[in-house]
Amino acid sequence: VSVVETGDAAQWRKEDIMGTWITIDVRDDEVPADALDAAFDWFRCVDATFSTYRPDSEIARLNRGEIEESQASPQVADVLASCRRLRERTGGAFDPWAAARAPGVRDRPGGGQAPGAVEPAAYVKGWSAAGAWQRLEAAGARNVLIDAGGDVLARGRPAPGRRWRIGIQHPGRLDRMASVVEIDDLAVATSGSYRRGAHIVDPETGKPPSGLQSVTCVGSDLAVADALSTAAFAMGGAGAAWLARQSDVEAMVITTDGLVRVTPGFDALQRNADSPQELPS
Amino acid sequence: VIGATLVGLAAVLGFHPRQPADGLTATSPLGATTTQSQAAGGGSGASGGTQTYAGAVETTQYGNVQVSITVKGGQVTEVSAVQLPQSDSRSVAISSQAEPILRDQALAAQTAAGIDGVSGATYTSTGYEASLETALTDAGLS
Repeated sequence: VSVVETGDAAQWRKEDIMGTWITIDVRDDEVPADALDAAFDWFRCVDATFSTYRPDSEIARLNRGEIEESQASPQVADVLASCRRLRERTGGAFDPWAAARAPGVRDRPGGGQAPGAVEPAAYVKGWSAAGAWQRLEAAGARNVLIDAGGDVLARGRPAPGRRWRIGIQHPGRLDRMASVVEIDDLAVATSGSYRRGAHIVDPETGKPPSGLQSVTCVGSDLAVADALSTAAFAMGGAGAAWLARQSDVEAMVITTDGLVRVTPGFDALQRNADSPQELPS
Repeated sequence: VIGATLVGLAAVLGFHPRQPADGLTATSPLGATTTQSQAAGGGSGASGGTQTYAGAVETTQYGNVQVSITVKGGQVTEVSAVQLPQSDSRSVAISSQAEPILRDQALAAQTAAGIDGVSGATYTSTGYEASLETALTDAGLS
């Protein structure tokens, strides 16, 4: 693990953890020098506990049947309980236990075939960002942006008098945005099947996914936003209507024929970005 | 070296709702087409002075990673993934995409436009920059 880049005053840092990039951007005038250290230590601890690429993680031991879920640490038990609720809520479209049975996952160093085998990574990324925020807040930070591999958690303000402006990746042009939203204390997660030509296949069907190119959810809980966007994407064409019924996220979907559809609440966040207003500091 | 432009930004910001359906509002179709795929062949010639260069296949703990770049007029116009590992429990199709350097360039440009961050599908870091570097070297751009 190495520090990829560091910015001014140790308030901006990007590291390569969990096979993706984690960026933390603290905008407070003063924050303890070790606040970012604690947050990145937390991400590394999460990776060591939950990774299916490590034979010695707690999830790896669970997947091999060396421990039962009832013997799991409080953190693992907490994550698995949340995953179970989301599996039920999404009618199985979000299913970390099914994910663990996929051959490419089962055969990893931390994979396995125990009855309780699980791959909770899709939930853990957002959950770990929330844990990092708790550590930064405890250290005195108030105005923070955390980007965990494209999952974004915003707290406070980027500068006095304005909200965080978050671009939503255009699914077809990686150097463009499909939208921009302005948010306060919210999180943004996006699932997509960006252009991959013939390489795009759904492992379940062996065929290219159809219906949706990209799903974005904005909500107060990043892990839930990520799970719901993943689930809606897996539902394909039915995902948009399903998302519209979820009360705790606002959503944007981009269909395979290029139509962009948004919930009224998401549209309001876009309109914020269209005409930024000076906010009271 | 990498020219990331945000010319599409103003255009896509102008979404206006047309009709409500299923509780969602339909807005304008995206302007850019998204269906073309890039053949990965070292320096394959194409129309309009566009060339595609495939980077080396990098073997990582997560699987193989290979990227290709499209160059036009000495500028990288596109970076695409030829191979990426399944980096989490999502499907291969959505497990990892986006491209770090182009993304950072775009972010740099967006800072001027006042954008603080970007939400996108999970992308894979390991091996990506190494494969990209070989493609840039082949294209004479690094």
